[in-house]
Amino acid sequence: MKYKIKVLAFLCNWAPWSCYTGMGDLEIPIPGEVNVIRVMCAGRVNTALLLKAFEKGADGVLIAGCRIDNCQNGTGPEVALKNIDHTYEILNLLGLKKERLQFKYYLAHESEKLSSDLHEFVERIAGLGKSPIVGDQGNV
Amino acid sequence: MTTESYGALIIGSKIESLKAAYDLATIGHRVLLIEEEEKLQASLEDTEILPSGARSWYAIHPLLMAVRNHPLVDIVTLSVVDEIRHSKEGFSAFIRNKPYYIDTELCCFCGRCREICPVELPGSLKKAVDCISEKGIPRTFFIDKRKNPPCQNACPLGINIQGYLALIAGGKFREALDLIRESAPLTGILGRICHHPCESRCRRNEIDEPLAICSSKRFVADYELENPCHDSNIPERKERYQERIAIIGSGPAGLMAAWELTRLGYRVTIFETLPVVGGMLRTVIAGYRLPQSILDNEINALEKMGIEIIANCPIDKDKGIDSLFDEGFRAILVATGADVNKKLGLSGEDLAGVYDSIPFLKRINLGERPSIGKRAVVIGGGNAALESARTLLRLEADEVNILYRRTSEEMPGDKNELLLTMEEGIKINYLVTPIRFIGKDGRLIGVKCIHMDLGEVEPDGRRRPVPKKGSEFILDADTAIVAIGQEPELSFINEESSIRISRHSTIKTNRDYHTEQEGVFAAGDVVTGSATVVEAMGAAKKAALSIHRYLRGKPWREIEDQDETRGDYEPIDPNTPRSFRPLMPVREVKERRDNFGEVELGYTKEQAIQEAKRCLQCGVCSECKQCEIVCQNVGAVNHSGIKKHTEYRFRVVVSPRPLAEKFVSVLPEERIFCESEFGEGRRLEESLLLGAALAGKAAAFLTSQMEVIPKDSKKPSSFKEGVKSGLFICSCNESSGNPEVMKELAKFGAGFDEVAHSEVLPSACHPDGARIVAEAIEGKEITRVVLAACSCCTLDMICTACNDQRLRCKGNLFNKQGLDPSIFEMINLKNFMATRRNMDLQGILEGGKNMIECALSRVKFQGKLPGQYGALAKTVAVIGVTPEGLTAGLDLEKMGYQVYLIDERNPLLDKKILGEDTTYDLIIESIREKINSGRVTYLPVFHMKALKGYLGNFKIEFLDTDHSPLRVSAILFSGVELEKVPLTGNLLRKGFARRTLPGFHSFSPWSTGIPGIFKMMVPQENSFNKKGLPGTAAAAEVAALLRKSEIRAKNIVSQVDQDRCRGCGHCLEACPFAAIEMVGDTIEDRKSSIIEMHCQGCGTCLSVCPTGAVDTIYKTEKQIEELIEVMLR
Amino acid sequence: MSNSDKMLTAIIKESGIYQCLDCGKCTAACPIAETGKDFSPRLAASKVIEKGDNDPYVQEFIWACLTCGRCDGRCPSGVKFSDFVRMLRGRWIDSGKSGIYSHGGAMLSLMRMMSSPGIRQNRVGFIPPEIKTQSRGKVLYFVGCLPYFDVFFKNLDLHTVQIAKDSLKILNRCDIEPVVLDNERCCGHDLFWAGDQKGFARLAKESYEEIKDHGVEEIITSCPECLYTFKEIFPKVLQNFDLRATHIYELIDRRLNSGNNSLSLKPLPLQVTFKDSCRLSYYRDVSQIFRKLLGQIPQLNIKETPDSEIGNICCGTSAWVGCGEHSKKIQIKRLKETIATGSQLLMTSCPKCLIHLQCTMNDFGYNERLEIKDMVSLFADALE
Repeated sequence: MKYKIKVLAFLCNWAPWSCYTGMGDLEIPIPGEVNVIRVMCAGRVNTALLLKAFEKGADGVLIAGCRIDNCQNGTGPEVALKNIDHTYEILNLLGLKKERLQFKYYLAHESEKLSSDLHEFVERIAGLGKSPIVGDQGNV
Repeated sequence: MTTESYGALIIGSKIESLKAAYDLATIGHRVLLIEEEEKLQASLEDTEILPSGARSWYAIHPLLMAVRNHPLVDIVTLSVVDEIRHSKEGFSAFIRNKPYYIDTELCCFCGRCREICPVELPGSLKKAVDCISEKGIPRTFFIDKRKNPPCQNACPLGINIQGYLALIAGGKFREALDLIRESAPLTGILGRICHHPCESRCRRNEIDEPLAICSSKRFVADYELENPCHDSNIPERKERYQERIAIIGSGPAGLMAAWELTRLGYRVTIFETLPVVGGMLRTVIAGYRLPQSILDNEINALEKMGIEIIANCPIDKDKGIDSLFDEGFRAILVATGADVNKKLGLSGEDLAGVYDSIPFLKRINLGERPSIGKRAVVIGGGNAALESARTLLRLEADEVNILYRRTSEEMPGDKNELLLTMEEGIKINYLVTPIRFIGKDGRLIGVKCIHMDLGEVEPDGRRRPVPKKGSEFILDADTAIVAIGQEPELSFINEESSIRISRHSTIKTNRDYHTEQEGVFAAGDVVTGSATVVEAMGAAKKAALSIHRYLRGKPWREIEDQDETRGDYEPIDPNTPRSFRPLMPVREVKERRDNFGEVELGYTKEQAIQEAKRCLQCGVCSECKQCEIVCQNVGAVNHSGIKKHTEYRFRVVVSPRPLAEKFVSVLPEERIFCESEFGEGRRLEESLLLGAALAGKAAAFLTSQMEVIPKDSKKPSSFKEGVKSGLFICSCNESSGNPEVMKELAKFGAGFDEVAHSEVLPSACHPDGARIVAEAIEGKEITRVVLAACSCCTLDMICTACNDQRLRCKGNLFNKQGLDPSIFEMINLKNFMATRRNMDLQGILEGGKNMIECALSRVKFQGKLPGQYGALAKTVAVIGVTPEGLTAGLDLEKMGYQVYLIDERNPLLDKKILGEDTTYDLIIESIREKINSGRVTYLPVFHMKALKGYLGNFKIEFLDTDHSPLRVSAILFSGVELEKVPLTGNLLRKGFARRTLPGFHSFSPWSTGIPGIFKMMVPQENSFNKKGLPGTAAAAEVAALLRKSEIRAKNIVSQVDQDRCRGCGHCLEACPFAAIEMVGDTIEDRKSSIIEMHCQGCGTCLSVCPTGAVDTIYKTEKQIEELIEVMLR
Repeated sequence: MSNSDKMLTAIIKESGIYQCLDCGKCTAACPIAETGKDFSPRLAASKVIEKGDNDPYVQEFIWACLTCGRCDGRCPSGVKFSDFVRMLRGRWIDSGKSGIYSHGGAMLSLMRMMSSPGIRQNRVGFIPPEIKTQSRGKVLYFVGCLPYFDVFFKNLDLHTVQIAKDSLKILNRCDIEPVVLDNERCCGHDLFWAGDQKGFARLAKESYEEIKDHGVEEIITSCPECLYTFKEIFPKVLQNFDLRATHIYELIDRRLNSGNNSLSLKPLPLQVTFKDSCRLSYYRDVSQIFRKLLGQIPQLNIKETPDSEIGNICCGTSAWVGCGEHSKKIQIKRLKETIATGSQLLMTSCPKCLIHLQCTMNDFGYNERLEIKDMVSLFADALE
């Protein structure tokens, strides 16, 4: 059987989550490969969580935050970007493709954008194929 | 009922109104918000792009939700203020509100009502039940009901015709039949022989041809015969009353009354003289119109229903009416009809071969086949005449002539019947009347007739026929049937009876169908003289109801007058395509002439549907009640929504000026707070400012009587350590996902060791849903709950994604049931299902399982969420003595705050500083008073040295003065350059830059990056700067936030594990809210601690903490790790 | 007796807890206890024997212990407390609970990721062109986590790869062109001590094979933990382990003694203080070598602090477990002592000491400054 890739999407509770629930109201389908995690702010997703995600076998991780000038907390997207750049360098050392990790901005009404981004991301990851990291290696 | 009493009455729901409502309520006044439309107006359509790039609606939405959710705000939509009165308690507003026909507090927005509604409005996607708006408030549906359709009004039985047509159009034939049977039995009969007054009133007449209502009714009856299933035509009989009722006569009237009374719960016995049941239906109406089998079947149904019918039991002189009372009947209905032919009174009327129509037809219908002649004449123009003629034809007559003294116009007989009659070759002679029967050896050989002319109009509106001199002629005939009308046979009423009889020999009753004799009622032809079947049944139905009222001792009353809130019919669209009813299939003349087989064969399924689709749906909602059925688990739909008039007490009014007009006559000016029009071409910022300003003024006025926030109904926290979980899955009235999948998920959840309870709820946002959860928790000592509904979180914050149902769900659980949010984990399963529609069931099930498993494992690590805050000192510093600053200070003082006015200069002495604007002289005056009376502290020429602290506890230190540092709960900067403010301590390195756009989520453009520190907002070029509104608005804003911070149980904050904190201070750097303080004197034991007042729980600190000492209480690191782990497993 | 109880008894036996005489030397020796925390190895030990390892005191104990081995060194009856703690951590994790890690456990995540066979790192980007290495050969220079450290601790503005560069420079000067693996897998020291037995076993196997695939016979490293792990642990978990592990100091020492003057040292007029590393203080001989080597640098003046050699105190946290208040106290004490000596330079021999002490100097409100450098770099500076 063909390997089904696993994608994690961290959605900030504000604009992105509103886009996501908007998708529900409009019944816009989301790719089955995507697992959604709601966080209170994109800036809360630290490097450790991102690495944890890859360690556990995620083939791609997408972080959806608010547009900088729309951030509920002011600094969320900036902090998120910092964490992500940081993680990029580590992924690079590990020989993991940078493309497996992505950050996107949203405004609260952009359900369609979120949907198309998710589909696009899943396709891209499918293109990259399974992550070389074997997930679920026992203990936290 | 007691009258609700409010601080403020707010008219309309534009942004200004909402902002005013929110601030007033938050400051602590009960608010009643009245909106005329069916949803709050804060312009969902509004797509103004804010400086932040967000659509302004998304900025407003949280405000809407906050107002909707505020314990001190009550919202009444679809309402108008009828009048204002001055009462001794104060002022009363009388509100009239229209019904939604859907309970906005119960509706779970599953949308099944709309889905099933058969009424699609032509030329639009709208339906009779339609959603007000996906994101509107209230988020619910609305049933568009108009006046009753003309057809229904015309029906003596009040059958919901539009309703069953709509159902037929939707192929729901059984439902259609059931709907008919809510009003009357005998559908198969009515569907054949009703004279359908409804059709002549059908609005389709205005464009082409009325609906074939009658035939449609016949179709559904026949459909049931051909596809028999349940005994749907036998309503289960609930015998509620022991009184027995006797009905004399088993004709249409008798049967109808019996049915109605039985449904009401009485035991009914029908007495019939003849050996056969059905009266005229059986004896007069011939088999080719109404086959005996149909009749039998319908009567059968009535008997199954429990109606006792005793045939061969004449009630006559010997066995009189009174004997029935002796037998124990408590009420009697006389429904003996009118079956005695009127006489022509012509010579030769007694010749052999001359028959009365009724006895004649009776013989035939009871199976006799008497030998009659070849050439027959029928006198009369009613249905009996046509009936007789066509019957003669089916015996051995070769030629049948009908003589009618008027023209076809006046002919009372059914038009359709007339056509069929002529089709069968019967000759109709109009304007002809017999003058004498010619006989030979006592047998009829001919009829002498004369032609007539129509003369002047008679009282009944018909022109009187007058004989034409010398136009006599003789018509050869060996058989003649007289059918010129019938009258009742009343011989059974003996002289001493108190029942009164009219000169038309009909029984006299009052409007209540009660005869002069106590307990004896009468209805149908016996009261009206011979009329139509449906009219007789209509009367009988009413009679039955008044018998009920009589026995229950209720007074007579008019039928409930129609709800006048209902609108008029939709005008008929001129380009509605013309269309005509399908041709009724009939048997060929040659095949039907010589037998009594039914002539009309009835519509096919396709024809019936095609015909029903022609209905114009005059009443929009057809009241087919399908929505009520799909909603029965939730019970939100209620078609009998009756308009309400309600009285509310209030003290002040906030409203747009135009709407305030009706108040000025009654209300003193100082109690009316209004400002031009609301929501018109104003920028969001300005609208918010105006709303806040009005709130501020009102609050300053109301302060004297501040409301107490209602006691939080929360029980002492039920948070326990051990994990014993309960899983509740909301099926959203079986709409959110495939019911089987939902059951599977519940089963899956039950499989986990720690899960003690697992069930699927019909609706989690329904009060009952919350009750079920609470009971399960109580009963099974559950310590952790996973609620898989559409709520995303347990927090009391309101974000853009939230909606009516999600908020209500939390409200019911946490406030009404008083459960502890800490023990809950909420997952938005509905949204998951909605976004996975494209996947196969297996995929959805797997995804769902994973989601449930994640939640179950996550909830194990749920910690106790923090509780409430105490009171804050009522002290505020206004820094910068500008005109606006002064206004703000003055208003805050009125609201009961200790106010400090601080400025580096001495504006109150130096007029130049405040500017020449005289509009402020008054304020400056009153400020001076306050200062003198010591209620406002004025600190001129004060320079700030340091500012630190947090909301509720700011500390201001001053340069070169011995004045002790100032402690205030909040600070309002007015005309001060924020960059120059000497922030220290926890505020160090924190700019004011953040969140100052009236942006996303933040409907407080006054806020700076630091909670509790505000900046004055003064729009350029704005008319209301002059009126000092900006200052008042800022004051309201400050007061609202301080009050909110006191009462709000903020349950999303970060916490620091003191043991693991190494005081590195990275969090201090990262926190965007100045919510972190470094405590401890020496470097070794320095630690960071969270200022809960400021912390928003964003978790940014987590991403910089090296030791993992800091963590958000809600969605902890551990929980997210767990989530990742399970998701990727 | 349940399985889990059997396991526990086995652990107690193996670590020699039964031999504990309750003398209390361990507590006296313990750096954490010294910071004032209620923290007693022997108390924890006796609690485990009585109540098992679910006791809250024990739970806190096992995640706060530095496993620095200072108590082991002092224990008259040879109880191996640090092993005891390590094995208890293993038990803890196997039961599905998660420990208390610093940096959100990110470092341990990295190590587990490196144990995935399919992974192909590219980590030798830091090697400057003038350095000569080869892809196959008998001698391997084992870099360790350094490249990851420099990324992960960007905010500290560290350049721990300098240690690797300098080591390679030195090796080249000794005419050694070592193999450096682009896909070098971690030695797993931290996984081992954090108690993730399975993770470590997996990693060790992969790591060993990676090395063997390049024909290596000897591993040279500049990291005490790597050295310790290859010398002590690998042979235990891999039966077929057949590699020699050498610390670069030993190599330098040999060279200098061999009279080979490829390593001639120029004077460094500095006063320095030396910080031993926990793992190397297991090897008295090696820690002796440091001082011997330093002694050979002209004009270099060494000022020891009380906690040196066998008295060495951990840098405050190890194996990315349980950093916090007490770690900080230890670190500050160390910095204070060093500054008190008046040295311009603190020399560390383990990159983690470098990181942790550097980090402490970045803490809020800490204003004293002190240069910290790994001894390898100092030595490289001294080379002519």
